[in-house]
Amino acid sequence: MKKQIFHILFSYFICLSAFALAAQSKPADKEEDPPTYILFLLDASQSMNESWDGAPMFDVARRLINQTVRELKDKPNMHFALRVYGSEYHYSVNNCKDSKLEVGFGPYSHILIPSRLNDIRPKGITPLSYALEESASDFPRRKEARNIIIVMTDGRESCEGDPCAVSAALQKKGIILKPFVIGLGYGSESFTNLDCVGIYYEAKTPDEAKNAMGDIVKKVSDKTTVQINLLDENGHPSETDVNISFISNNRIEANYYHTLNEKGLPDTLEIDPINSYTIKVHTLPPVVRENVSFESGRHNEIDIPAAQGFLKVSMPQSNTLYNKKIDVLISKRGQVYALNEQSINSRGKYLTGKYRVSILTLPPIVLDTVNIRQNSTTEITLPEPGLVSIENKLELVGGIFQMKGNRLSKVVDLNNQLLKQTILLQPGRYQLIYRKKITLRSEETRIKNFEVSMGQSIRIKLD
Amino acid sequence: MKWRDYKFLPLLAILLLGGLRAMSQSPDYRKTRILFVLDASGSMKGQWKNQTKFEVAKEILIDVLDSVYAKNKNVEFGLRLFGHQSPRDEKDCEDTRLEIPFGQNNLAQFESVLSEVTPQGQTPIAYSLFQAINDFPEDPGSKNVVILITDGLESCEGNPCAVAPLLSQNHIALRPFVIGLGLELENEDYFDCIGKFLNANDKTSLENVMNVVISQAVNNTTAEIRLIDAKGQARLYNIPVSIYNQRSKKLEKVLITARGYKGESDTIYLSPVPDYDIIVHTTPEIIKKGVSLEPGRHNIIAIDAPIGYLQVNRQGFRKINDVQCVVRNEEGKLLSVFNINNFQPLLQGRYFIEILTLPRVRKEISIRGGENYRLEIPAAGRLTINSSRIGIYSIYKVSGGKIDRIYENRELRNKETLQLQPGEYLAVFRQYKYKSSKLTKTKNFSIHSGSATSIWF
Repeated sequence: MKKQIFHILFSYFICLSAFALAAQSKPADKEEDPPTYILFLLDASQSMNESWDGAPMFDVARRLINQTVRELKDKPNMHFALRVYGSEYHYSVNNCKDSKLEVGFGPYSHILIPSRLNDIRPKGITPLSYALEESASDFPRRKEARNIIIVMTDGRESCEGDPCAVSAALQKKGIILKPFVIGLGYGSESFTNLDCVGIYYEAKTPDEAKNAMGDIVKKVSDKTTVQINLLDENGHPSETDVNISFISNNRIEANYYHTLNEKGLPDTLEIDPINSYTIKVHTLPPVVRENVSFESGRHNEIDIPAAQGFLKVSMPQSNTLYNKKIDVLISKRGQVYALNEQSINSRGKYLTGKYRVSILTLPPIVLDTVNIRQNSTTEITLPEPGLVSIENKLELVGGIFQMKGNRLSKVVDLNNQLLKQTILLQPGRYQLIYRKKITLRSEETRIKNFEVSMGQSIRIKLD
Repeated sequence: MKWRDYKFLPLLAILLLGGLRAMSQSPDYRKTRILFVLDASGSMKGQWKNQTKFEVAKEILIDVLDSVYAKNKNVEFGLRLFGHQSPRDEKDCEDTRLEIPFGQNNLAQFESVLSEVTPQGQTPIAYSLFQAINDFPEDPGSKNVVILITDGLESCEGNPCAVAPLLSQNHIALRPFVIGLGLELENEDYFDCIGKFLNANDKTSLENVMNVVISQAVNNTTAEIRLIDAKGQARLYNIPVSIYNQRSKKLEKVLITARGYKGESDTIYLSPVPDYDIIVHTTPEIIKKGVSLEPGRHNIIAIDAPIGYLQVNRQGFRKINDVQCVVRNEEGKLLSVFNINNFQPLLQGRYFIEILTLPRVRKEISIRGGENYRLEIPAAGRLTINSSRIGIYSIYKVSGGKIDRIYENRELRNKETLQLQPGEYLAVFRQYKYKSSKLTKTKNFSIHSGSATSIWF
């Protein structure tokens, strides 16, 4: 008998791997649904024996679990497990580590769970935090899996732990999604501290518990789709080709490069509706929406205004000497640091609006108000710089200056160690102000005027 | 610096800055000696209206001497001629002579010498200037000035530029003045190596030019710009300073601060008449408005310039040191852009710097005068992104739930190599061909200093 099971398992395994291989060798045009692991965490403390509308509360819960497993077992890629607490030790013993994984995740757990539930007799206390903590290791370590805990309890923590903190920590580590919690019985007050454990349902009657479970099943199994409309200035969802991050509980859950489908409409994304998300659209600057939740089992459309246009700073670069990269910094007005850096002659995409553009030529060109308009390219055209080479017999101190209004403004310092230096300058009139390094008198300062014209090289020889 | 040293700083600052009209100090020249080096070459016979250029020059020199001697007992003139002794075709390149030595009562001598001379010969400017060095008597209390008046360029083999430095080394304090008589220079700065060049095209303009030159030469108001460092000492040299007439806004003088001769200060000459605005071309600039000078004295203009240094170093290969660092102030004004692995002098204060690595490194810093601010950033690592299909991709810096885009290539073909600072990143890619956002691929990767990472899509 044992051998037979082994055979069955073995061939199953072969089939599986063959299937996996086939799936891999095919281009992954259709993504598989991510596997879902559902752990039922059931209260088996003494109080669960109490009658609830004619039946012991534990029986109500047991039937609900059985029904849920039946409903979900045929959906693709669903896995189940059962953990209970308070079933091993009498409450008088006050055992705060009374929790047990009754059925682990496995191919037959949907059969094993109902039969195990028949054997369990509630008798202990409610070490909820401990049970939650233990459940972390019940899940297989699969990165893409959705790990879900459904807690059914009629009382609050009876030991020292803080179930909320435990739940938050597990979510943060990415072990579980936000748990579902069904509070059984009338005790509205006594459950208030369970809100924070997860998505909380208060069930005063067995019917309410059933409804709660129905909602959970829907959330877990129904396909929830999301469409993000990136709106242009006319309110049309025409903006696209930008990555969008979905962040939940400080975890980056998904990234999608926004795409318009063949019909030119934003295509559909599958997003787990259990979480609420921060949506970050990685435009420049990014657009962030906090606390976005989706209605499960439905198609959700989210409108996000993200009208964009292009910026290009162009400059002829005919001379190979100019292969030095010239940076262009774009900043939002009123902000010190740059939002983005792009290089000359390349196009950058930005949200529409006004920006400050600093072009790091010599001298730098700062444009305080550059308007980016929807769907058009704002182009700033600069003349080609000229190349100035300065040759001197002795080391010099000083710099190249330019008149701004009536005043001299420094463009660049001379290198005081070189006898020959070449500098790319934008066309214009300049003053070379210099003094031989060895001279001791500032009266020896000299001024040499020169003009740089587009694309020309000039040579300045100083004695 | 100890507290004791700080104690006197405010006092010093008040003394130096409170009134910019500061105490008079040496060197106070007792005397000014002005040597005219006058062209008497053949071309000086050329006519300006109905006079020869030489006659015009003579008249104007006599007028100048007359008026200066009448007012100023501390000025002496001398006269050296060149090209007056041998005819041009003799090619006498040593034809120069000190005709009138320095003295107070030599006006009559000027009149007779200049009347007797016939312009005829060559233009040995360099040789004449070289000889002029010895025309001045040994006298440290004398401010020595050379005024060269010529209507032609060097006609002998000499190099006037080579002689110029010798002049300044031999106690000829002021840069020589060069007055051109109708000189059409092909090269505007031909005389720059000798001194300040002024051209005159007729008698009236020569009068004007001469007045300017003489008032500058005779004027004995001197000044000294002292840039005071964080320790209260005037030791900041090699910094450009520009000086403007406050009323006319005209640029009057540009200088690069220097140490001055040993034991002497670095004296400059400024007219005491206007008030000045002074710009010290540090980063950022220091602007000192409304500086006035006391006539006939040595004025110390002290300006606080507590300069510190910013040094940004990236570890690893020096090769990649063309990374730039941008310095801004609080308002976001761009103050300086410099290549890392260099020193950038900055005035004491708060700055916002942005290093243009990938991702950009940002930091708010405080520079203190006299101190070095050293910022070390780790060496970059190399990332190669490979893709067999054309696509769009972007790179994100990630930590916890934070995700910030640092780079995007809207058209990746085949592969691209980037230099990234060490850290944790996420790359997101989607090919262009298939229209589905579900085909978005992501790759987490980390970058380590000095090592290479490759990812494939």
